[in-house]
Amino acid sequence: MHKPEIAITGERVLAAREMVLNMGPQHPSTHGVLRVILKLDGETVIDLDCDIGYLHRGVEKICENRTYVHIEPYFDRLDYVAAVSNDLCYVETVEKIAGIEVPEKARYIRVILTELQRIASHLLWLGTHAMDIGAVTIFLYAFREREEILKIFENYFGARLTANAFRIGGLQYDIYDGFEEQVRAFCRILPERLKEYETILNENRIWLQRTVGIGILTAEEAKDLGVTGPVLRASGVKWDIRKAFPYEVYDQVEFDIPVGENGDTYDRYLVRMEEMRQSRLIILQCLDKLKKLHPGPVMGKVPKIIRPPVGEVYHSIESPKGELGIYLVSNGTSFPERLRIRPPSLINLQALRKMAIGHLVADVVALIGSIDIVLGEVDR
Amino acid sequence: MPEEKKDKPAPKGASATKAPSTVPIVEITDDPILNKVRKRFPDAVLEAVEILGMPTLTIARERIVEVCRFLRDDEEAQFDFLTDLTARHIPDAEKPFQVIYHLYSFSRNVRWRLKVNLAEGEACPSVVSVWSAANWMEREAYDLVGVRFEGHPDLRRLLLPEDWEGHPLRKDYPLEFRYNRWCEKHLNMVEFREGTEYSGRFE
Repeated sequence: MHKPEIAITGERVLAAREMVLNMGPQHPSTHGVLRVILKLDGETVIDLDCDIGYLHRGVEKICENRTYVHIEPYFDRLDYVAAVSNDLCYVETVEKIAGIEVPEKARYIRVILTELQRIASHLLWLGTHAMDIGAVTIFLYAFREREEILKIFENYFGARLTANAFRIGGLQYDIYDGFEEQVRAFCRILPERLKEYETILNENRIWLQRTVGIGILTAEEAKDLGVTGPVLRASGVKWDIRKAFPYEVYDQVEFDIPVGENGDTYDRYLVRMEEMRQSRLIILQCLDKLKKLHPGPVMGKVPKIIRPPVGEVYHSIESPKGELGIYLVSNGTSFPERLRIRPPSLINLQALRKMAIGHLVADVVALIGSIDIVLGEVDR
Repeated sequence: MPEEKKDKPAPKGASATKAPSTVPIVEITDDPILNKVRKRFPDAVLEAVEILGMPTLTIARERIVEVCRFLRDDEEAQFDFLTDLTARHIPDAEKPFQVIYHLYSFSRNVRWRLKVNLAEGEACPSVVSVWSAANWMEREAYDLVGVRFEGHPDLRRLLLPEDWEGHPLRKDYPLEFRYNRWCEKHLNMVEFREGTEYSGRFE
């Protein structure tokens, strides 16, 4: 990887036909405050540089100054469309280093909620990504289904977006009456709704022209660039942390890892659609098993003040965007010594330059959408 | 924090006076890949332990790029993926900076952690030539911890503005500012009062 020619602070040497175009930070298709500086030849991208950090809040620094219990709400605000997955990663990391046991029932509820969150995150991605390319109808449909999930979240967590009920050692609340019926009702409608979206998109000529063959990333390139999640799987690498390092109860449920063939924008779309179906299967299996465990405790034995032993741990989960990892160094007090968050969006965004060079400006919009970034997580 | 103080009287100092326990750390004695690395680079591996089940190797600063390239290309090791790269500030240590690498092998499904300790002012060799993924991770480590990476193609700040002063993840960097020069210059919103500079640590 060489130095971009148009670094924000560097020199700008332009040939006669070339031009530098600034996209963002206030641009609707950048999904937040991402600034992309494009070097163009006509309408073709020759080089690009990303300027990030507009949303930097210093979460890692704040975490060093908060107790383990106080840190958790900050994780909701990282990837704010998948708050549940972020919380899961954090509580599991602390449980791993402190050796805290979680009741089995809590594990199943956690998996159900996390998979619901994955579907919600993918639906939001589908709606916004399709709208970037011009299919506005999909946006309205996808938000209709996402609303059903948010209603479940509102009933369980008491919040729709920054849902926070996962605790170190278990859960804050047991499931409410009617939880199972509500989740099952959602699982019943999901397959036909996904079919509806696919009827609109899969053979749509405009959609195919905008996505097929755009931003191809081979398996080798994807591995080299550190890409994870659906973007990596679309490149044909069959790898999912839920299978590679099973956490919670993923080793007790059956599901497939969908993979793409070409690694283009269209394959990323197909992989995410299939992932939603697999998540639904996981939820249904967990609901069956949860029935046998209900009623039961949802909170394990946790010391009043959490002081993990001195040491370090790396734990990662498959968040909707990719591998969300936490490297935690504990010094034996109730404050972490160092807490590093490995954000999937940030490292996947690095691949944008590789994908975009040689394509048109309009394709950059499609590519940013297909990586599925959330700037709250990129900037932290 | 106020809540912690509230909790303290309950166990009557029983747990507070106890020395903190440590996670299980086991010396790695016989690992085929580690033996290969030791044979190939006799002076590279300074320490090899397993912390909570994760093999952790401390590597000499000069050897890190060669060791990484060897681990990536070796047929048995096949660490073809750099999961994470970060840095840490340890103010009391003899070498106060540490760069931490997390490697992963797709074919073997194994994670390894490498560490490089750096003295004040020492630069760490960049591994961008081994894995392109290191590019932004090293820029972030430079931005937030202030570790310089030798041979990095484009070492600029990643998250903070170019003209920001200091590196926030250093332990001597305050959590809160009453006054910040950058904000005063660019945002023109913070009124400066004499004697209040850098006094805002959370207590």
